Amino acid sequence: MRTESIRSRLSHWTVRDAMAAGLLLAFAAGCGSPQAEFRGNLVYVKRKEIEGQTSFTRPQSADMANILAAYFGTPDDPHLPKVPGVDMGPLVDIERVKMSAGKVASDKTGQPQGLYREHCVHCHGITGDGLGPTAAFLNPYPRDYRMGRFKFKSTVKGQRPTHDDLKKILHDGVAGTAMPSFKVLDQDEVESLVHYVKYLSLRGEVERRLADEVVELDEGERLVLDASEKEGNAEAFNGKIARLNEIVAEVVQPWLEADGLAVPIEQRSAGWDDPEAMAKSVARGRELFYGSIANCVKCHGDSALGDGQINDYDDWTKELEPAKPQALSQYLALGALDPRNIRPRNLRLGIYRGGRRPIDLYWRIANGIDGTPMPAVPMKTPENEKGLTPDDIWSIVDYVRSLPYESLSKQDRQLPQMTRERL
Amino acid sequence: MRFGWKSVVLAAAGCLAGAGCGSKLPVNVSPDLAVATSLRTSLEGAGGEGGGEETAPAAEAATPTGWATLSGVFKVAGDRPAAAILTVDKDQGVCAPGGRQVLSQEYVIGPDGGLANVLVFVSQKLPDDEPWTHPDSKPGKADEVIFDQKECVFLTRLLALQSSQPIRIKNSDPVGHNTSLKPKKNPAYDQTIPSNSAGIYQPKAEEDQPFPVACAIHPWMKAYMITRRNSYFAVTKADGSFEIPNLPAGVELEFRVWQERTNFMQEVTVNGSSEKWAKGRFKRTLTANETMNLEVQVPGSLF
Repeated sequence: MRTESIRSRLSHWTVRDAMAAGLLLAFAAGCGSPQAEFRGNLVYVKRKEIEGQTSFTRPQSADMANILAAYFGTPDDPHLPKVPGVDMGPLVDIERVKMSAGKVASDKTGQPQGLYREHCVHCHGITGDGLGPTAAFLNPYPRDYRMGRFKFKSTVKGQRPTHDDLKKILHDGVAGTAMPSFKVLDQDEVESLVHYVKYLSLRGEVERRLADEVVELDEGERLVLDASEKEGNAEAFNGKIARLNEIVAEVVQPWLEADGLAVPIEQRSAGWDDPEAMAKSVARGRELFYGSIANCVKCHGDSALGDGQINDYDDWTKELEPAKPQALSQYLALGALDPRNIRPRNLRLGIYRGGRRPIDLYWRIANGIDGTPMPAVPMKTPENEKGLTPDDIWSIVDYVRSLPYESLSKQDRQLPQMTRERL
Repeated sequence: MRFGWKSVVLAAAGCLAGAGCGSKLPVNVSPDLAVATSLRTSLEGAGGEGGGEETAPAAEAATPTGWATLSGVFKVAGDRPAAAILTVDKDQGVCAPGGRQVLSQEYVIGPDGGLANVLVFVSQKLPDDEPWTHPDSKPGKADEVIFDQKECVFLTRLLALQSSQPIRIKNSDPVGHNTSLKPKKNPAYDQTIPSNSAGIYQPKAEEDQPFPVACAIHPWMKAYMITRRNSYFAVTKADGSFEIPNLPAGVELEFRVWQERTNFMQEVTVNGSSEKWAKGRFKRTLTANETMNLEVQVPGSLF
């Protein structure tokens, strides 16, 4: 009875009705892919507004968007700032940026287009804000490039990464995370993506600096003057333009310097790989791990399980002021992802996000890890007798590399030390 | 009745097409591409200006007539909030000896209301030489400044210094610390400081506002630093008093006032009359050899 009634109802659907419904549904699906557009850094703007007890006016926000578009173009038509006195040449190449920009396509010769949208956008987002559609489902969250900070690199904490550092991440991926290796791409394509990541980082950093600038403006003042206001106001107009170019120059400078700042790795003393010497080095590394100079134990924990300091956050999360629920809820409403604590690495898993080569671990220990609580170890200098030598760092590397093979259950080797014994 | 089913489906599809899949996120401010293009022309044609160098501006029209002093005191009016108690969950033997409570120093208010660690500085850029900058306040001072930590407390909550001065970051505790500086314009610094040793940090540039200092091992530890080109700055003492000597007289000076909790201080009462300091800024013109005194009342509601 019932089946019949449904069938009779369905029989009333005509071809025309079905088409109408189909068209409407197609419309509905269509609004999932609007014109690609960079998103403003609303969270950072909100943070500045709260700090400065002010709110950005519509013209001020529009100025930010226009200035960014003037310097950096749009996702489909990227541009690089041409600032007097700054040569972007060694840093980013617009042709390489263009190969990654725009829609996914390829020309007659098979030359690809839109590599970023093909390989990266679903996690890192069109703006490089780490807010792509899959981001919320990943742990750790994808990197937000807009602070210009990257964790796994050869330069000291606080400095920008080198070109090769970024390239290595694309080549090898980030073990233990959703970031895959892109070794299967052509060299040219990887190269292009590195340029595009730098492009998005620079854009994001300039955006933040513009917000810093807006918060300092007097009420009603703007970052630029309208072209119509230029008449008779040339000095003020040019002053503002010069200030903007100064900001871009300040953002670009550390990137230009970074390529010469990779921390050199000291050769190990000869015979280090002799089994006996290695055992000694591991023992020395263990001592340093628990000692108060390298102080690894404080965060990585008494058993190196990464449970020594579990309440901290990385710099991207700290910006959401996770300790202030009221501020946090405002950031979340603007699209920020739920804050998560940053965990010191569990060193017994043998998974090293920044790479498993000894040289990678050396850099992590010697340089610290940018954007995270991991500090650099102090090096021995004439002023600092207590610092570590490069051989000491190698010993810590050896010990860390031995940890996955050291059984936790062998109590005689693994008794956690009491604080007073370590001191 | 005949069309019941059909219309429901059509209506649902229509709703979806109309508004259903709109994002919940706030609307983005899109650039106006015509404006952006004309702006690009201006930005790229802007001659050889800019460049990010820290330079002193040329002398302005008015010329200073001598030297003067700005002094004063910051006091909290009305209800004074109690300091928060910090959670010390590590190295308690060193950081909270005898199990004592460790109080937050986000604001330190004395028994008579004096507000410590308020920063007052001249925010406008002044030429580096006389008659604008007194020889004793000139840029380039190279004396080392000590920034120490003991019992897991940074002994200087707000360190103001000249950008040319090196900082000796000491650790006077029997446990290791790691001191991380997050400046805007200076190089970042984050190093483990072993017990009873020190690291050296050399700032380079002037900062416009204080930047945070923290220790990742003991996350409750907090402090701020600011580097300025000349020495026209002061931090209030425990009783809330401050003094900036050798200021150029006869010209209008812009000061800024900052405190960790209130940020740039906006609503205050100065010598009995209420003032609005937009973004923490106030202006004064001092006369030669004068000591201008400011009695600043800060409303307790700000804390």
